[in-house]
Amino acid sequence: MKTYNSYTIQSTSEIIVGLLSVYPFESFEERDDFMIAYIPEDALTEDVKLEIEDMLNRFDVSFTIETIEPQNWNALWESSFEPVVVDDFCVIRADFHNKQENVEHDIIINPKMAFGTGHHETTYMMMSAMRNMTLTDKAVFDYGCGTGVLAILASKLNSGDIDAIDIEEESYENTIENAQINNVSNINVACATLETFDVKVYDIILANINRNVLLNSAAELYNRLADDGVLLLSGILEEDEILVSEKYKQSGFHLIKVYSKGYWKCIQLSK
Amino acid sequence: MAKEIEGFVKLQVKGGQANPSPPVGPALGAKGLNIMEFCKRFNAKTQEKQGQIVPVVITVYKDKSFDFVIKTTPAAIQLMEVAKLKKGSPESNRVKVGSVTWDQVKTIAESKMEDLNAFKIESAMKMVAGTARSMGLTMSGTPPWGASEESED
Repeated sequence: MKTYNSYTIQSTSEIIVGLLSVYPFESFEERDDFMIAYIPEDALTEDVKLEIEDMLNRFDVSFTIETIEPQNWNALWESSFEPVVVDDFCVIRADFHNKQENVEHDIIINPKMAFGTGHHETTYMMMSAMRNMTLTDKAVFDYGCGTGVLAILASKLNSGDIDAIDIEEESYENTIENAQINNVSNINVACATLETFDVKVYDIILANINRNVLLNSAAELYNRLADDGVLLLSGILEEDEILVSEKYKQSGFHLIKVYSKGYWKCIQLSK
Repeated sequence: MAKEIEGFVKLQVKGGQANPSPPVGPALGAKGLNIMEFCKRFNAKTQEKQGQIVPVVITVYKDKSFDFVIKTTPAAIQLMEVAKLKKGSPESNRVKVGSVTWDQVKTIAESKMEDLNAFKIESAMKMVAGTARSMGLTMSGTPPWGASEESED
């Protein structure tokens, strides 16, 4: 996790935002009569700092700088989230919730700052689709694993070995932690992209990411899916469904089924 | 019955790249919202604006749910991009550091029409031109309403 410097600037002028945008500021927060601009600490060199200060002084705007250490910003939500029951077969809960009876699978997720608790439609649909698939002894690839919830469910559905990768360091660490909490030992976790990770062939590929990443990954995922394998895609808004499914069909996949929930779609494909 | 509103959060975040770091993390986390759910929805909605600064107004409800509206990229940021400036003018009222064409001003004005308090494209163009001048930019060419009022070159 990165350390940030925040500039609290006594102005909400759009011109100041525009002029700051040429520096490595990642984002801005607008309040009623001031703004806060955020820049990664390692990008705030002495030269950049002097230029920013010079610019703000020219506009006669007062400001203060603070260092913001990395922390789990999701802690408040995490401390009070409700368990999720997916199709009456799987519960996802935090370690402080009581175990629920009468469900097939009980998964504990302490999400911190990774994605995937089953609350979101995209994860829910993936888990629902996995229930209808045969995973026994299948090699599984969880592409963009987040909390690792899908990899953990795959393991509980008796899959073979699972490779789980994510580009975010927080997700990599969170998947390892959650796999340990759930006593799952057949997940190999890596902080990697599709391009940097080993090329292997899998029976099942799970990818809950976003439209652009999915569009760019079609050919690579085709190479990694076994001839009789199944690919599940999620993280797709309903307005992007045709674009994504056409891209995958052009890459050689066949459309099997489309799941819908809220504004989201989940697409099941085969070779 | 409509949900009770707790407040609003106004952020400007890069399209497709929202993550739980500041300001999303502290701004939403302090209100008990699920930060990762916001990031997933915001990033999906801004795939066409990957890497551009995108203003977003988030409505926070008392039940810890939220909605958000995505606005257009600020004119000042669009001007910096089209003028290919590395920094603004040290004295914008005297030292000019670059120029934009009226066609570029019109393109930015058109993209901002829905957010600007303007009914006519000419009014929006004059607002964008005013922002440009404040940043040390001149307009090259002739504005669509004639040379006498606005030409600077």
